[in-house]
Amino acid sequence: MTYFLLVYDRKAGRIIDRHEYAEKDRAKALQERFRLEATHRDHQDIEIVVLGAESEDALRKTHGRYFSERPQDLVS
Amino acid sequence: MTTPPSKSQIDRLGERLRGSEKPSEADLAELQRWIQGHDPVLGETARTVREELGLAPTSRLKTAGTILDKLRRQSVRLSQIQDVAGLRLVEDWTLAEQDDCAGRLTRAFPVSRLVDRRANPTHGYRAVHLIVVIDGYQVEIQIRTRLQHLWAEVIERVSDVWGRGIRYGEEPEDPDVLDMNVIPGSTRASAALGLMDAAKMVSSIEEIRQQEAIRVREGVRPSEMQRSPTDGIEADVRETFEGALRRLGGARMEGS
Repeated sequence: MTYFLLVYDRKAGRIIDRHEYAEKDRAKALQERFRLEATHRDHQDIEIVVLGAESEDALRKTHGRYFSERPQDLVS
Repeated sequence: MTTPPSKSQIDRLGERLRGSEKPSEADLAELQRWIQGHDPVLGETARTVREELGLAPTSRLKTAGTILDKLRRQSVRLSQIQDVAGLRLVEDWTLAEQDDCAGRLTRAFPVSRLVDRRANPTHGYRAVHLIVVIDGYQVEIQIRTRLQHLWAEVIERVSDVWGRGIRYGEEPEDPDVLDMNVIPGSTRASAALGLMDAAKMVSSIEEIRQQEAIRVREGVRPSEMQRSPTDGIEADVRETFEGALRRLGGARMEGS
């Protein structure tokens, strides 16, 4: 599994920062997520999430909302 | 693996978080530790689903912000939030194939309970969930068909811009805002209602396709069946989704 740490701007609908971590660095990904959550605590529209998946393609299948360039691309 | 805190300890934390506009650093740290405590069980559950069942789940731990939002919008205790740790499976399944997957997962995780949200949708949301319990921690496995997942993603995306309350059945923020790019008189509120109607249409499509799949298994040739209306209905549903999503990128015009 790869762990994708995404910093996502909900209103803008785009990823503003991202990092990938190997399975062995899973704990690091989570610690970094917590650190970023504290940094962005006053920004309600910033979502910070760590998603585990076999690949980015697999992640786009289950969490496509984060990756759509335009909102309507979710449907295509 | 760490022993989870007691339910009463978690619920007391939940009440403090709910009741405070700006939770203390100590409470946020305790919430973070509780979230983190789910991680080993989440990893173990994901491994079982992948290696023993040959499925491809994605995994995530719920964010602190989403937990706080849920506590403030709903009268739920913190210990009752069962999706702090989650796996998601999305496939182009029929309803029967979705049931079959749920059955396989139930056999793999004997200490679990099934929640069929197809029968009892939550504000339009339909899926099958399996809540697995390991060492006092819960993991929610979301089992979604392609269309159930698409609806859920559209609602999430719309709620990102029109207010997170939509996911809890609330009206959009600024419900009377019109969109310059759509038919006059079409507001955010009517678009949100359209999405709820689309949820029912998804349910109908899946029921019809399930019946068709049964008939094919019974030996009826697809060419002998009456032309299925589901392709047309699905096209309408997708148009409803696209219409709502296109508004998110459009300019605002105040409604009268």
